Amino acid sequence: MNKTLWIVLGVVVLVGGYFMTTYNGLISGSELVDNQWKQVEVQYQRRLDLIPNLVESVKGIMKQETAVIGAVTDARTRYMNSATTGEKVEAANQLESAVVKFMAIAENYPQLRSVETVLSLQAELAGTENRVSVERMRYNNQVTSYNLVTKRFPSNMIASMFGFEKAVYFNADEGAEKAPEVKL
Amino acid sequence: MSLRKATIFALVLLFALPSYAYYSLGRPSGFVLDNAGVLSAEQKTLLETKLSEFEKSSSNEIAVAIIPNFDGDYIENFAVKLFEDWKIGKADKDNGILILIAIEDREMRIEVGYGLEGALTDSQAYWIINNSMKPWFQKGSYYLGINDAIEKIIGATKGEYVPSENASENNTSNIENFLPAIFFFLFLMFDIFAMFFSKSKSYWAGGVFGLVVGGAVGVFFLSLVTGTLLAILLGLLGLIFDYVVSRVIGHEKIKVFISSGGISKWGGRGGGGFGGFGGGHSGGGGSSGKW
Repeated sequence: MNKTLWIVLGVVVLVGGYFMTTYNGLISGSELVDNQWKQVEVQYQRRLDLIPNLVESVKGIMKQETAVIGAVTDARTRYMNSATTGEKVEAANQLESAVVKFMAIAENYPQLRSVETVLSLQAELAGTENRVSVERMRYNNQVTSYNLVTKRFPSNMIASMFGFEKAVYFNADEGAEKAPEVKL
Repeated sequence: MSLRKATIFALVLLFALPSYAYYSLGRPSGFVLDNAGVLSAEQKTLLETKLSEFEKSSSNEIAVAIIPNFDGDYIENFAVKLFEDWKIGKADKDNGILILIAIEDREMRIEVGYGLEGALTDSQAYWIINNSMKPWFQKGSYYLGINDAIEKIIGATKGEYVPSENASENNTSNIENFLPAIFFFLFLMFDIFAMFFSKSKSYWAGGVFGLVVGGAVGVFFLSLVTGTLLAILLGLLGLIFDYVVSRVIGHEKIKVFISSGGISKWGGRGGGGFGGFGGGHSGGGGSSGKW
């Protein structure tokens, strides 16, 4: 009798302990995913802040490139006006490819090479693009480890019991994982 | 979820995440690593001394890694991975900087830890690469280029951090600085347990003790599976330990051994030399260049 009681008590403690650790793991996992997404957004903001200065400093020299410069400023405005995460991601991708195109076109203007501010701003922008890809890679890694807990047996039962949904991967455009270079 | 679905999911994951050919450079043995053999022994010592003195005065950690090539990887990814590996900078300040140079690829990068991004901006890193490193590297004078870059970086970081008065205590966030203390504590515990369990009549109490401690710690702080494994492992160890001290050696001999200083007297070995970096992080800040 006494023995059975101990066994039951032991099982209850173990199952309870498992529930607790898994639940807490899910909580910190989703918290880490959110936090890492914030890191990505911080870098997006940084990119947003840099663009007006850069556009201003090259306007005089790249007079004919209104289309490329317009694409950058339009994408920037679109990002600022987007509310949901999905819209933001889309606008950020659009902005990213516009920036890459802009950097490529700027190579055709050797006059820019002598303008120190342009070079500095381009270096800042290249650095920011690299930060974006680093934080995004870390975000996706975080999502992987969190999603594994929500999908693996038996922790997936606890995840669905408490309504933990799987996090969404960030799918960057083809080739976007490598940041542009300053090639003036 | 069915097994097939799970397999497909795992495969999709495998292909969705890009993987590059980063290869580990091993544990750092100092501030300067020269796998390409472009620095003489004296030059390496000079840089090492400069960086170690800078670390002592400011707590900022600058690492220099010179390798032959990136083995197909690209420099930004390699730098981030190496930074993650070495954890340059103090854990609570992220004040590390990595100067990465690949001789055959003719590429260099200054990767800046989160904590120094304000002091050494991307554009400053860009100018240091192009005005200090590049001209010297083109002449094949790697030492002069690196030395000049370090001077400029140190200049840029001056004033960013006022080193706190207990600068040496800040380093202890790094576990490696705790190691001697941890060892000493473990040895002390060993002596206490040896004393206690050899005195107790049973030769199995140590096993029960290990089982309970391992199970409780494991289940509540780790997970059920690790907890169970830990309980079994510690239980077995405790059993063997108690049996050895009670039956094989005996309480009297243990008492004599401990009064002569016990096993803890072995714990006081001195450190010295390079103890690794402090646990800092970077987020892709900095600049890259070619020569």
